[in-house]
Amino acid sequence: MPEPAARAVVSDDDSTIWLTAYTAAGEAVPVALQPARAVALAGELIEAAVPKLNVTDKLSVACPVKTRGGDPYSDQRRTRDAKIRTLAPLVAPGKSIEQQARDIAGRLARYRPMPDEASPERRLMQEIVEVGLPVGADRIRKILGEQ
Amino acid sequence: MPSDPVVTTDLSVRIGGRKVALSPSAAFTLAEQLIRGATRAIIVEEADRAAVLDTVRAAERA
Repeated sequence: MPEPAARAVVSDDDSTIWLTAYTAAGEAVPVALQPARAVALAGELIEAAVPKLNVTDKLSVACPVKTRGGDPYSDQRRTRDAKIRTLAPLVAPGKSIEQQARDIAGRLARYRPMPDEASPERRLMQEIVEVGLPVGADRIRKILGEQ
Repeated sequence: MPSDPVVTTDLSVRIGGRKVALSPSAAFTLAEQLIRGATRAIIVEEADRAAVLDTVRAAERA
């Protein structure tokens, strides 16, 4: 059974790292550590200490995992783009991409939803507007150009 | 020579037959000091090695 000691102290002389246990009576028990062993021991201490903090839940609430980079609206954008591509041949068949883009942008800007949309063009415009992402003629031209 | 220190799950460190109970903050402090000491020792060792190599190469060129 190990004898209890009052404290542990780390010291070093630039070449050797010492971990010393001091008893209440002042007796010192030093142990020399290789740098690699000191780092490993630090890891073991951290690993043992973290569960004692008992703050895992609090940390996860205070620091929610955030995604780095990327497009947070990628799904909505993909949906909107697909509907714009479907709408283009309906509202401006046979026209150039630039003309289709201007036409769609103008229609979307003027669009006011009706309670019961019957035509496929208006239904698509409603769905595009409901996505909630603003889109202008330049962006529509790029979307149609990506086809 | 005292045996290698051992960290136990009840957050104590056994050093040469002595057992030191630690609080989490004491454990983190100890870990920090160990890493600082180890980093310093590694840097000194690398610098010494580089200095020795320089000396050997200089001697070879001479």
